[in-house]
Amino acid sequence: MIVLLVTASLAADVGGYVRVMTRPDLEGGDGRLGYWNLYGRLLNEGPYAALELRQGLLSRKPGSLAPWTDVHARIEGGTVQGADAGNGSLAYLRLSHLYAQAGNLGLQDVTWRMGTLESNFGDLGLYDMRLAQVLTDTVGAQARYQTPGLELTLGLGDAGWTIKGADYNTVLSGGVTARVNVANHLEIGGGAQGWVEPMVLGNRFAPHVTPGVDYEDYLRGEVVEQFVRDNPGELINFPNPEPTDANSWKVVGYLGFGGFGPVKWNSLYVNYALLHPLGRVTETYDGQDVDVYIHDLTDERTQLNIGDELHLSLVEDKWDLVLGGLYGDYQDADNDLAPSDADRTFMSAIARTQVYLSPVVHLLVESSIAQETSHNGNTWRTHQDSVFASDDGVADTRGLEYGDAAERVTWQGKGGVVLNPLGPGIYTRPSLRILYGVQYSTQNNAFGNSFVETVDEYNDFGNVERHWHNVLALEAEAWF
Amino acid sequence: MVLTWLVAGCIKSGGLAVADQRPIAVVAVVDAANAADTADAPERFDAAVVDAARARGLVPTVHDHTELVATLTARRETTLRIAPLRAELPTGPILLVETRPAYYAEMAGQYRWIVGVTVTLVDEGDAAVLSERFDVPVFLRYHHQRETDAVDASRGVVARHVGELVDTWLGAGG
Repeated sequence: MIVLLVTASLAADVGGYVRVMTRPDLEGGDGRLGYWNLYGRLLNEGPYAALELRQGLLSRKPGSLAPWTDVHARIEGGTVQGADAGNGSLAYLRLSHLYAQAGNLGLQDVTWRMGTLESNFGDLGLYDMRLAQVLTDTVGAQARYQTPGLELTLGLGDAGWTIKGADYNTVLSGGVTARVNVANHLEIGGGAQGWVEPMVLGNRFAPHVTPGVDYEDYLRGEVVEQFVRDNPGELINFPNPEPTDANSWKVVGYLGFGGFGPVKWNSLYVNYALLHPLGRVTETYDGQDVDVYIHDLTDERTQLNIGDELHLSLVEDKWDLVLGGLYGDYQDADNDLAPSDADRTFMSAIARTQVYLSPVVHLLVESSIAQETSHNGNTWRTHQDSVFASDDGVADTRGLEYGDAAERVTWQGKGGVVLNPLGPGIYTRPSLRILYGVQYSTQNNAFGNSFVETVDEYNDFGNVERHWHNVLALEAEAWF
Repeated sequence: MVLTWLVAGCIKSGGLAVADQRPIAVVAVVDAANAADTADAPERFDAAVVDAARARGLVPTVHDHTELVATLTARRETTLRIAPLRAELPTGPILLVETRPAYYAEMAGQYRWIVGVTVTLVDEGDAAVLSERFDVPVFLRYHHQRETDAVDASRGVVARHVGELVDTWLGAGG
């Protein structure tokens, strides 16, 4: 990694992205206004740095059909010295992209790429989310045919290391996207990705099913314990895993239009995915580790995400407005028992406006409202003593719910002064920002914190009831 | 008197040399890698270059690219373009701004382009030539924004370089 960082200074082209901030939080938080980007990326994200290196090996000449080629490498991560718990440690950086690409190799307008792959239709800037993207988990080969009106991308490779990590098993991955542009005022795109993890006999990391596992026992981590309870002294006869295949898929869509009147551009993204089944969990019983294979308990998880962002120029170079909306419906048909991130609905709306007092001094105001609903019961605490609201003060130590509410509503308001040396534009950078943010949430202490939450009599620190949260931020953000 | 002194001081501190309403021909072009022909620079780009020259007392005239397209398309290297340009525009200095936009990568939600720029100032006659070559990284928000938008987005930085080159030229008695 260090070699790569040093090499950065020698590379032909270096680009990157940085954001760094300090947000002193006198209310006990970790400096972020709320929990996540559903309330807008502003004040809810931490520091980040990305450095992309490109070494051109054969440069592309205007008007020439001669082959060209270059190599890209990107190092990125979410930590900066003094700005977060990671304190800038290189351990939090990763080599996220590494690929070589070449053009004019036999086929005109086709770019060939080997290495890490990706194809996406753009970004919801207010949320910092990319809903319509495929192949980002795949290492392999990709071909992109690109003309002014049409772009076709086809990629194939292996996503096993990304999906399974140290439990690597080959996961064949293939994806395709197509985008049509009409006179730069309308764009329509679509794509799909599929994953196939074939059965491999004898490989403990390949997909398997442990037969006869009850979902509630799996949730509690008591599969082995229950087996022994039902079959005393028979742990040695715990069911052997049965090999199987694991498959998953994702479809994405995109509609963009703009370039007329005050509408700079509107981007609508959608994705629908069947998530890849999980491999195994390890339970320890009587000092013995036993793997439980959970393919069949995790093969019915779906995700629907829809997001839209409308960028309006109300007064050219004087006043911009961006509106955003996000909806997500996550279903886990295997789980009807416990609340989880895989079984919920969320929706959000954001408005950000920026008034350009001068070319470099801007006024920014943003507000968001969001609702999150758990499908399987309570998962949030609305009071510091929520156990009295949900269970009359009697804790259920075998309960699978948490807190006293299955719904969380969050409002955020943000505003401040922005200095943009390069002039007007909501997405023009670098930006130097002085911002104040306030959040109201139905959840108690709905921000990252180190509060002691237990309500027992031995809590030496006491409990805090707080639904409002304030932060002041000094931030810088730049692409370069 | 005081006002004059202040204005003169400002001009000096800003480093602006001022020509006496001297005409100059401006030719600004885009050499996109995927285009067969050299194309005109966007209007706002032309305007930024013209403003930079005009701020120094020059009287710039943007020359319609269509009358030069064959000359410029046939010769993509700056040194090969000067003689035929001089033949097309026989009198007065010429300010040639050549841009070569190239897509770099998508980074954190923005599309990074690099606009390679060569600014060349050809004085009257053929001998005196000033030239500067530099790259301008620009970030475009949307995928449909391509070469022309990248060049347009580089105009602020390019205009600053044009101004500095003109300052050098005027400072040397151009």
